[in-house]
Amino acid sequence: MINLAALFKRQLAREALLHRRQVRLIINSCLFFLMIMVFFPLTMPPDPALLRTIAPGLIWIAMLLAMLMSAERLFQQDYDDGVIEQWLVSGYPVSLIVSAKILMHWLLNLLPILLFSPLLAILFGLTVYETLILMLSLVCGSPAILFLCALAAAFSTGIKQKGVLMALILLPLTIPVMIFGSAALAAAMQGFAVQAYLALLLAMSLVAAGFLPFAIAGVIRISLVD
Amino acid sequence: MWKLLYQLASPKSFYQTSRRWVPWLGGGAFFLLVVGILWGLVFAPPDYQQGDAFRIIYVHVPTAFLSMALYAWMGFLALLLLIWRIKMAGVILTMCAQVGASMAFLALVTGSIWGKPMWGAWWVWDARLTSELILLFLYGAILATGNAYQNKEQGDKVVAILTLVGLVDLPIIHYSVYWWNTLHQGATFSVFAKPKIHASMLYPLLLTLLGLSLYCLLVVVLKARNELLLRERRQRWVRVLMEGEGV
Repeated sequence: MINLAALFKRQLAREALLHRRQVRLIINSCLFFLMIMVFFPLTMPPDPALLRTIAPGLIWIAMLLAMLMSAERLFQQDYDDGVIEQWLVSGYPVSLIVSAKILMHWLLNLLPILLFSPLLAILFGLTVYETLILMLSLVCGSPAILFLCALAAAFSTGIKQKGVLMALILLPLTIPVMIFGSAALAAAMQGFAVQAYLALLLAMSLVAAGFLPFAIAGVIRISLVD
Repeated sequence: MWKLLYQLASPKSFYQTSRRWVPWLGGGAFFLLVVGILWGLVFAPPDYQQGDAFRIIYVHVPTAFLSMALYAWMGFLALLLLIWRIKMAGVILTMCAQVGASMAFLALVTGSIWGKPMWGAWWVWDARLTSELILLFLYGAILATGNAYQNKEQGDKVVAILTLVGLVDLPIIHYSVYWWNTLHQGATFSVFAKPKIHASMLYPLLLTLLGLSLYCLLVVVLKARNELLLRERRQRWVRVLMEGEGV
């Protein structure tokens, strides 16, 4: 038995390697995000004021959907290969393994979205300050979204018809994060102070990252031991 | 009293004990609801500002209160199931979810009906209404997840985890009227404060609140009894009950 810090580092390295070998998955979720961002202005009157008004909500919705899509396969491959079964019998805390997995998933999936934020600034007419606040709010709020997506993914790993169930479970739980996330950018656009919103987002992310791995491990254990 | 609680954890003795409660729950609920609604609709004085339209309070407040109380109760049952592994708690949890969902739905609908003449809109996106809508979606998610599992005991445990994760919404709903600038009014009565509503309007409200609570309890007990018969159908006591002695 190795100590827990070494376990965490090893799992992080494993997840990084898995993502590196399947880069197409990250590119898929990034493309999905960009697709939503481009299609909205295309299908609406291209009024700059209108685009600036809807930009906060739209960016957060696109991020939510992209994370949801990428989270669907979070546990599926490991479930199919029997790796989850090995986690359950290994004697190590499954919550630690799960949090390493989600953490690496978050880092690698958020990075492209952050890199494309300047492009979004051009598309929707955001200033440099607003773009910075946008990136900051995404960094603060996306862990909460992703951990909740992982919870929904854990619920639906063992059962057949996944898609709708995941969205249904996820929707009520992510509403607070979405409200504060889009409000942060909207407040920045109007020149109000954003510290409170960012602090709340960060708090929600920390609570999610701290407590949800235990819930996810519990759900995995229950639904995959039949 | 503890002996009673231990007995309730066993499906067979729950079934037998609850049989005696059903007529009392039903009668009590019927009586309280009839008296409360008649008093509220006919005998309570009209409001100085809202006129007679305020009387929907006698349906709206009990349903809203019960949607939250049932969820809190489900949270407690989830802990019983996950920590103490009391399977009966899982059965009652699933039944409470169904009743709670209908209460949340009714609260939203009656609230909309009340809001149209008073606020001029069927719906506003203020904190209290939005968080109650979140509660309805949470109930929907719980019901959908529970239905997705073939093995009902497994489904109960997963639903319990989901209930606990969603429990954080409850304080948000309750305190939303204080934390945010909302259209919805604050609490009119609570356990420790003096009620802000006149006694002639308060008493029928308390009666309908209690009556609807007893009704929900009745429905949960009846559903739980049915569910027990279904789940324990291979046990001897169920077969004796259904097919008579000599099985």
